[in-house]
Amino acid sequence: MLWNLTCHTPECVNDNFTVQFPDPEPLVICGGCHQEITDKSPTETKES
Amino acid sequence: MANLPVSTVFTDGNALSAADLTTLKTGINQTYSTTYPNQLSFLSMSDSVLRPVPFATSTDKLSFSTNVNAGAGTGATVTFARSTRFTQNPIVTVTAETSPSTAYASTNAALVTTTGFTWRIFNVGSTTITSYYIHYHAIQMTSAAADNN
Repeated sequence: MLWNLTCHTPECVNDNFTVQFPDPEPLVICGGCHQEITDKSPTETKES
Repeated sequence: MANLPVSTVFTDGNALSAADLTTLKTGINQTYSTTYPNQLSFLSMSDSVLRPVPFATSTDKLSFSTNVNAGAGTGATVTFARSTRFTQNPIVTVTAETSPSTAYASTNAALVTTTGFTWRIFNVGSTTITSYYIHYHAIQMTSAAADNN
């Protein structure tokens, strides 16, 4: 499952930038600021 | 040597002339599309050899102060800084720098995408790892592929 991961560290190069990653580990670290990313949510999936 | 720029030496300290720019552009296009498709390269002036340059890279050193007991492991997901730089899943090499230095650890990249990767560390020795760094190098060699073989 794809997850949206968004860093919210001020002045981080990834601040407010959302990336998608499949099945991330419980601990997700932003490579821009080395802070934990806590804004994590599954991407919406379409029901057929 | 085929497909090299017809001129590789330009006047130092001055703006390139229109003719020089055309020459440079033509040479780069020839090299790019014919000799090494999708591969940015530079011509070494010392031996006239074309050497490839990575399309995109990312390296980092992450610090952790948590124990990893003998026979146990852990891991995390890392997003790349400026996560749009990769257009293909890069080749990611992961290694650990452990404390104490007598410890033994196995590391791997478990899942790699253009936006990040998951790394894991496992303590294969008998000494508790009390802190460690995760070093990684992600590389995409050409605009079309992670490797350039």
